Amino acid sequence: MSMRVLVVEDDLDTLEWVSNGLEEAGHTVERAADGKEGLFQAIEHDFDVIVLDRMLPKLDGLNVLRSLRAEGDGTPVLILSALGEVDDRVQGLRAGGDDYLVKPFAFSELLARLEALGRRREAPAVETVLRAGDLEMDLLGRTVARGDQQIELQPREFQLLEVLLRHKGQVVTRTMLLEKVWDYHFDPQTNVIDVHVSRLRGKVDRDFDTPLIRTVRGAGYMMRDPASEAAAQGASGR
Amino acid sequence: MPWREMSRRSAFRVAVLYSALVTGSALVVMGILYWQTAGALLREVDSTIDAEIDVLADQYRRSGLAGLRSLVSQRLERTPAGDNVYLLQDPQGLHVIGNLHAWPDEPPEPGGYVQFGLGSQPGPLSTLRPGRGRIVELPDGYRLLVGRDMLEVRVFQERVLSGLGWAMAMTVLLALASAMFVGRSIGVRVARINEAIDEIVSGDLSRRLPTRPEGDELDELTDHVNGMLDRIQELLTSVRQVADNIAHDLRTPLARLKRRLEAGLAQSEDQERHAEELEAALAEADALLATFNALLRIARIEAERRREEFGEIDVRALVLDVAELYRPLAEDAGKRLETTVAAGLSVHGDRDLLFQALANLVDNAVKHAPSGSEIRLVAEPEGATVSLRVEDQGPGIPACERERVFGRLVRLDTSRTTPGSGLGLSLVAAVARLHDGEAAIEDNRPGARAILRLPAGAGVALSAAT
Repeated sequence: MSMRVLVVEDDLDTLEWVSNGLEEAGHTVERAADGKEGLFQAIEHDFDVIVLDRMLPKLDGLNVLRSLRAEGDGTPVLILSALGEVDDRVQGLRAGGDDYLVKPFAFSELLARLEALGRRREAPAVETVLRAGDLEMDLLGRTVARGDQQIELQPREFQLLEVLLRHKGQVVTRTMLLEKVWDYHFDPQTNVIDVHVSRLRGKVDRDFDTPLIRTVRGAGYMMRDPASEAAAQGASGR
Repeated sequence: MPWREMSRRSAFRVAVLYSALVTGSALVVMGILYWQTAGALLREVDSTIDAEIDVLADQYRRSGLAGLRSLVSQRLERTPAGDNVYLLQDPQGLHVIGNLHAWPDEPPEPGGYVQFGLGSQPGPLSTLRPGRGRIVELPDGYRLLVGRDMLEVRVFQERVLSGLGWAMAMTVLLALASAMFVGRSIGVRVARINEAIDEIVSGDLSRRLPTRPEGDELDELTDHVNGMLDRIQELLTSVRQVADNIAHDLRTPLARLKRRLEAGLAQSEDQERHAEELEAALAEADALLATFNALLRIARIEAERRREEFGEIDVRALVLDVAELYRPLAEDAGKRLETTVAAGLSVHGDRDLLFQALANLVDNAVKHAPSGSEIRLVAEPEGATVSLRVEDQGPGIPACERERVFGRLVRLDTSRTTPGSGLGLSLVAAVARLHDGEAAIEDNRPGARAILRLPAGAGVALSAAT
């Protein structure tokens, strides 16, 4: 799913690194190197998601964000905060931001979060059933089944599977899982999340033909979406 | 000491101010004294004169001029050289009767009293004896002066004034002297403290100001300065230590990184090996980056001390969340994770930081506890604090290392081979300090007991769910 991304960053090295990386991942990128240019671009054109640095010349990042929101523009914004600044997620999110990353960050983290933000826009508001391949999760009844086999999950495992399903086809990083499933923002020293995922796999993937939960090296995890994979294969005629 | 410098000294100013105040007070006291003594005497003379005038006026009313004359004459006969002064003049200004030779030249004072000179000869007022009296205008143009000889009164007044004057002078001198003495003694103490501080700061930071047991304000100040010097030394030592540790601990991963990259370059023909080396190099770089990030995070926590985003944290929920997150990891490593959490406890703080701190402690426990053993998370009240503990049955930490282990980048020799940056406990300590609490390691007999003690919050309502 290709997105139109606006990257507003005054450090040219970072700007290029991020923009090139996003283009290589298949997205269309518009660049802006100061706050005024960024605000102008955001208002003039329509973007799926915006990457906004906090410290910008001419117009400060949070002020760009506030102006945008005041205009009624609800484009998802991911805020970047440089080292040596107050690491203030709450302030950034309150100003209207949707996600927050502190530099230096791994590009895969940025990409995963951007794609999650971009997807949010197009997804229908309320779904009661989430699906991937033959896996089906009933959010109301709190049941999970693959094919015709019921799967018993602990509450936390259910939440974990839900997040992966909601982001099917996208990378979800470990930090994202911690935030969305456990609601804490912290750096695990060890692979504590991996063990939870592997237990989930044991229940959801092990006894079935096609493994759905995929490990993405250096990034995180992804719930495969066989439907869109088949469509992509069909489209590329391979 | 040159005047300008001296006049700026607080001790000097205090001395001057003190002297001025004492002088002012003394003046007031002296004034009252004078008024009570010499002043009273004068008032008495005046009332005597008035009383005499009353008597004479009465006589005049009853017996007319003749009666008055005879009474005055009687008075004069009784005490010819006495203190009372009389003078009766007829309308032409001629002497009728009296012991005053001439009518006073001076005009009367506002109170109706008049000063005049007494004496056998007429002359300037200053050479004659002082007198004071009152003039009564009689009908028919006669005038009567009634007065008193004031010499003794004046002499008394002068004596009192002179005495008071000397007293004032002595007071001022003594005040100045004692003020300077007191001021100097304090000034000397302050100067000594300043000198000692100068010496310490420019030279040996391990010295401290000498203290006295008396405990007055200057002693308190000295104690505080010593406390500050302790803290400065602590910080300097810590900085030195960190610099040393960084050099030591981060040089190795950097060297490994370099080796991998070089090996990767050399291996450029074999694609698979090439990729392997580069991936390993990337992993080293990531580990280094993580270490630096952690260092920065700790520094930020310590420097910023931002507490506006603090909230009331449900301790039970926090501990259970940590346990739930780490249980699978612990179980896979063959260890059991148990909890003993009191309900209703809360602390005022940052939820994410506290979670991180506890998580770091649990991480350590999982790494060091032996297979099959139990790791217990405990949260319970301890007086006015909440005690959060992670207890394991591993090898424990020797008593002599239990404080050092909270320093940055400190790895015990026993753990040098296990993964970890040496910053986990530093972060715990920084979070503890930010929350006005403390972090410590105790003996779990056997094993280690890592404790985070925080001031208790207001408490949370007990929920029905366990």
